[in-house]
Amino acid sequence: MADRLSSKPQTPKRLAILGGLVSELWHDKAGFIGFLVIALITAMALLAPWIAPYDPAAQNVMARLQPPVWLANGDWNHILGTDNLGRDVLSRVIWGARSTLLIGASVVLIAGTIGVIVGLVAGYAGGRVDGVLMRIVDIQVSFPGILMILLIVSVLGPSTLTMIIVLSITNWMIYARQVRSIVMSVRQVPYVEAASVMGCRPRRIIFRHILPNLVTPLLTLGILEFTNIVLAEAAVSFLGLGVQPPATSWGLDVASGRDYIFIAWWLITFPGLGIVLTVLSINLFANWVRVTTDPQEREKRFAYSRAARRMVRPAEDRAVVR
Amino acid sequence: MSEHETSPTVLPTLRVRSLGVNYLTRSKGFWSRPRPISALEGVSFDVRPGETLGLVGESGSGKTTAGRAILRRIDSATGQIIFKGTDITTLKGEKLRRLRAGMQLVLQDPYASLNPRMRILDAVAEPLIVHGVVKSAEAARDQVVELLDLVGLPADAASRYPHAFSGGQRQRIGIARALALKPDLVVADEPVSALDVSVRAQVVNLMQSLQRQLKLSYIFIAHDLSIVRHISHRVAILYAGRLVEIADRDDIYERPRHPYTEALLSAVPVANPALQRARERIACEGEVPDIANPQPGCRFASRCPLATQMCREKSPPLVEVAPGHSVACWHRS
Repeated sequence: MADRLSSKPQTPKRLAILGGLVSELWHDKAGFIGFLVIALITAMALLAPWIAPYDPAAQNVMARLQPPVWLANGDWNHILGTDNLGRDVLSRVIWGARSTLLIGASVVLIAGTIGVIVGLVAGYAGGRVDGVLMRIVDIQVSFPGILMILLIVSVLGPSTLTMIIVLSITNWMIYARQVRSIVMSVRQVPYVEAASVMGCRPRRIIFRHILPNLVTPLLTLGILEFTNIVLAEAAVSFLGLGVQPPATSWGLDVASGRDYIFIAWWLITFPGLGIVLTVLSINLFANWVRVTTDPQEREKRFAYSRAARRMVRPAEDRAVVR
Repeated sequence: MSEHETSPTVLPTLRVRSLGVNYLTRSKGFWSRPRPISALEGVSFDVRPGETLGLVGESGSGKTTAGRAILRRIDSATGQIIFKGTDITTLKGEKLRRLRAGMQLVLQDPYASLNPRMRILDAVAEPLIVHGVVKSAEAARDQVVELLDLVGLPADAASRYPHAFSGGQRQRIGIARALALKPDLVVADEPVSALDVSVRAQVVNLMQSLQRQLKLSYIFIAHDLSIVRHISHRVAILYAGRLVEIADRDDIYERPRHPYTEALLSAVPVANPALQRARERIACEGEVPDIANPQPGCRFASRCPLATQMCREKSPPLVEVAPGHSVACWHRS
């Protein structure tokens, strides 16, 4: 808070807002842990070349299917064991985070953006525009996604970029449908009518009055879709059209470890755990974002935390009363 | 207040001439075309500067539709809307948007009429921002505080969110927002019917004192006749999308001409049990006409005690029976 004393008027204010947000995040323990885990996983993905103990593609037939260190026969050379080709599972999990996070996050962002724009336009304009856009969505939904993916990949050739494009093309429709239905109902709300009678331009109505109502459902949908994308990417990679060896991803490892589930559970468990942890922590963090963007919820949270602090220090309070 | 000017030299704030609005039915089945339903037909009235026109009618009588058509929220099928001397019936785009600064709306439900994610400051400053009066909400703070003071709210209300306020306070905020651009005309669509009785009087009195201070014209849409009597200078009665009677307040309450107006007024309780018991209550038999399947003749004919064959065949024109008092009835004009 010493920043406020600085002579520049603009930056300290921004810093103060940022500081306020950080302290709010710190007070919501679940949200903070979620944020921390996301940060750690992202850091792990970015720093993979330096922290991974082995090359994730290096095979060692002598050390096939070694169990993790805490089981009998496990050793410290391969903390999480090795797979059917003797590759180090820990290194694969660390490297796999890269493509999984990259593909998952970019697809959710790109498909989400396309879907939100289409949904907003369809819901706000209504009439014929809505009819045309929603029929396009219907056609796309009824067209088998995997066929589309196979078609596009065989034309463009498999790569991470292709994966992102392909999965975005096949996954934007759900956002469009959900956004459209919310926009159509919010458009009838009196404060939106008030805004248009007041003389707001459509753009302002959409961004100031309609879009904020989409934050909560879109966060939820985006997180659900993230898991979907990770699994879709695994399926496509499993067919040999997605992430190409020697590169790897969590989804690919889960898919290929499936055959060994009864003799070497660690192949499927650790990358799977990576997916679970990522989704769970995004969820916790998103919940914090949701509450923070809703003034009413936010005020409730402040009230609770103040009440909680009073519970923790009842002795002090009593002293004050006396 | 009853000595309002009837001289034609005063340019009316709003002049509505034979306004009609059609709604389209949802088409039944794939092949049938949507059919227009006439929700409002041949409505004409003037609102002079500083005057309140009470628009009264039962549910579905078209009073809200009339308000929305005047504000150009919905398009009118026939007629003319003249605002301060300019015909605004077919205004479009940026011109229409500019026009909106001159006429504002106060909504019925104070809980839904404010965006829950916007501070009061942002909500009240929004009209100023969209019409380019100020650059940002912060820059409008002084004006907003002034407006809040005008409607009787403390200055610190500006930085709070709508959920911190009661219904009556929110309605005051809604009024402050409507007044931000200093409009000439405010359409108040049942502004007090969602409020507690104890708060109603406050809001109505506030609206009246603001009218005197700012020379506002109101179109006050309501179904509560006692409040309409309190606030209006002139009263227009709508029935099934048609204007049946329009007159100065005291004329209409003391000398109603149309049988529907009589029935409506007889339903208002009097705060004197002896008098109330002695009063004759005119109850209307029959059904409200289905405006989707309009019958020829007077719309009130199916319930009217005076109805004759002529009423069922030809619809009565609005005729001036006394200065400033017009009625649409074959038998009473």
